[in-house]
Amino acid sequence: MSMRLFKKTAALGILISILAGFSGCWDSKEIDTIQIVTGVGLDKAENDEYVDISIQIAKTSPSAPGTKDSNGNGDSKIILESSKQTILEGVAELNLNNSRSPIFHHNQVLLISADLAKEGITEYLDAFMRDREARLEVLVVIVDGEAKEMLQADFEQEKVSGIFLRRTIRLLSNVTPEYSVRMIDLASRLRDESISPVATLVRLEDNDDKKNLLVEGMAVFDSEGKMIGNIDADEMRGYVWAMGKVEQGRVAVECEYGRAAFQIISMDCKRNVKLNEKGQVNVSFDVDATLNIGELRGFENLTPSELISHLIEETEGEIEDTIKGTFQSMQDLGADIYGVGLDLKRHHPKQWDKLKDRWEDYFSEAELELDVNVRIPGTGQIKKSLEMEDGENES
Amino acid sequence: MLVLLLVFALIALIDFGPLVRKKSRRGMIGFLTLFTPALILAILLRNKSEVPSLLQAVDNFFKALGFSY
Amino acid sequence: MRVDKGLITGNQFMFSIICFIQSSSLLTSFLTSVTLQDSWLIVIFGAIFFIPVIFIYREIMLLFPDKNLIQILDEVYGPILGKVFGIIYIWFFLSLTSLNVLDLGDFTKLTIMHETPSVVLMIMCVLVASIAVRHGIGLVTKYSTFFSVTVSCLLIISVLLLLNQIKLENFLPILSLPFKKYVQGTHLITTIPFGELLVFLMIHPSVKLNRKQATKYLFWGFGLGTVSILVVLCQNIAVLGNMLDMFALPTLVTLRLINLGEALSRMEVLFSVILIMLLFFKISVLYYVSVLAVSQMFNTNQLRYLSLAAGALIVCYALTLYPSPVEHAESAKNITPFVWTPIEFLIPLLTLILGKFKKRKQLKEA
Repeated sequence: MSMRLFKKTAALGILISILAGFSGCWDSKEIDTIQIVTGVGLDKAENDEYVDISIQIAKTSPSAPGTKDSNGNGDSKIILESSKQTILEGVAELNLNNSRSPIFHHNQVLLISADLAKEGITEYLDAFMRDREARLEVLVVIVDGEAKEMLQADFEQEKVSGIFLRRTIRLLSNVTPEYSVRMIDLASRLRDESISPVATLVRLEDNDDKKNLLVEGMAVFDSEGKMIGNIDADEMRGYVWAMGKVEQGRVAVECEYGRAAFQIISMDCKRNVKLNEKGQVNVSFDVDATLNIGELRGFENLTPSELISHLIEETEGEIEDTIKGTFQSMQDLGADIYGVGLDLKRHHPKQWDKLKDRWEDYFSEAELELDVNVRIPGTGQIKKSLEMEDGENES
Repeated sequence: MLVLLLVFALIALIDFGPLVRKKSRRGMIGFLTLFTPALILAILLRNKSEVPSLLQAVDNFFKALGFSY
Repeated sequence: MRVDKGLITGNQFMFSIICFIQSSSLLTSFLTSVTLQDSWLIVIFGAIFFIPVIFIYREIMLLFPDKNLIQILDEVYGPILGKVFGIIYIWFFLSLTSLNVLDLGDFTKLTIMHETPSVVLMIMCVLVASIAVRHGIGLVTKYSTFFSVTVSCLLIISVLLLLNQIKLENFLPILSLPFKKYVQGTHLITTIPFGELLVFLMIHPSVKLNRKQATKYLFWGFGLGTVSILVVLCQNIAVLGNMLDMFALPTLVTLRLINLGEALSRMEVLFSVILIMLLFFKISVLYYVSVLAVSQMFNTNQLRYLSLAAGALIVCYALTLYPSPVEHAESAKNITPFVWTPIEFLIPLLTLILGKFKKRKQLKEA
């Protein structure tokens, strides 16, 4: 064989082997050998050493034609369960007894039951973050109840509850991004010693046959990842309003003249943290809110200009009370969910060094100065409430 | 192991052959200085024996002199 | 004698430099683990400190416009010492190539091909690079413009997509780390990645440059490359905050977090594409420089027939370098800057001084 021909054949051989090698044949996963995980749930097991792991799988193909279960429609998800000491072992066991291997790339939520959360979530987060298939934007949700039940629930809007949860929370995040807690947000807060992590708290409501999702509020953790308390839906607003960047929401006030409900157009909060002369922490929140009147009831004896100034007064009071209330509850809990310590660290690092070891105490004794400013530019489609006086034109 | 030796034989065939043909003594020496250590290393690695790392040796040398953070 | 008679244009030279430095912007974890949120300051300090070094390189290039580094060493230090230094530099080039091949194998395995043994990935890369090396410097640097422009566009797009997750407070507190960290950080960034520009002293004979052009291409190349690193670093700091030093590949994580609606998410494949493009280019250049140095040392112009053997050596050497990525990162943070400093800075400086001295003597005798 001539040298040229040999060279050409050798080159061709090399090229083909490069093609083969580069196509990643080691890593190929055929679609009928995988299961797509859409939700993972962690529950407390009866055995203290163990943790109950439930994995929700979305079926990639409907059940074989001709076989239907009693509902008349094929189930679109299956739940796998396992109970082991570590998450790795649990998933390995599921892998073992299965014809397909689960892949976590499309995992939507990580559900942790409140009971388990009280014992600490840090170790589980570590397992999920290390796994290279893990997605750091997985939403972490705490379930008041059993995570397994939540995964098994059939909601009307979506067949797969993992997807339902994720979409519900994403909708909530239109109000403010603070509502959707991703794994990376949680991990970031856990890493920092001062700020207390929070996570959305949900509950499954059983109304006869229909299951409902209730967003109860948020769960509050200490710096070691143990759940120490929770805030309910109202207090949640106090937290979120103090964090600023709110673009949706309602404020309702009731006063001697009547009732009013408002839509929040925007709410921003500027924060300032410093130490006063006594060495105490001084936190000042400067809230700027723009509201639109949504609903008015009463206010018969007011003229429109009096109305607006009165409403502004009432809403400012209401916002102030809500924020103060939540702040106080958090101080009682010793949980700095606002990131006051973080602000101090960022702007006054030297002063922070002195405080950081006993931040919980300093936070509990912090003084809060609140300044709320409300603007009400619009009143909706109608200018006066139906019961108001037919008075002079507004100024 | 066989595949490894085959690959090295192929390299020798493709590259050493022309060097011999051109009678380039310096080229042949250059080739061998690269080829031989590669072959030895490859065989050692294949046998999973502990190959000491040259770079780490240099690192340790500098560390011993105190040049390290 | 000129081993490789190929010629490249000034622009190719400049874009090669840009590509070279850009490839380091993806693998900054050794820097961010030291200086955390102040890493962007370190890039700026490092760039300022490195400017005199570029001047040194430029002067050497202008003093010996037709000789590559190995030849220069021979001429300045005499036949014996010159060869000794030559061997040191050959070791340096081979080590750099192997380190980058190791990085390519490890990180590609980490990001997209989990099961494939990293050896296979390394061999594939070196095999393709060897084709370029055989055909000389022209082919090696041919795609520099394409790679660097593509990567720059992709990086700009990624920054735009992450605008909604950037938190400027993550840059605070500024300058609150112990002083030693800043020294270490600056030292780190000047030796790896900036100092690796030394290898272009092997390539400059292929570019015909006068003083003004050399300055222009060197500084523009360095400048644009540094801007690239700065942009990526700032993006990582702003998005990741205190999680910055937790990840082996922070840029990968930030790209993973891109989330504009359901459609624009899971962009980490972009990272792998950019990484492979840039690392491959860098490996090709380093591979070429290593083979060139060896063939110069033996004074043979049969460069193309040495390439495969060198490739085999590079892959095998890469497998022996470090037992695990942990040691690799540890060494890179703490010891490697010291090892590289004499090679990238002290010896070139000495060479320049002696070289100028010799030239003056030669002129006097003439």
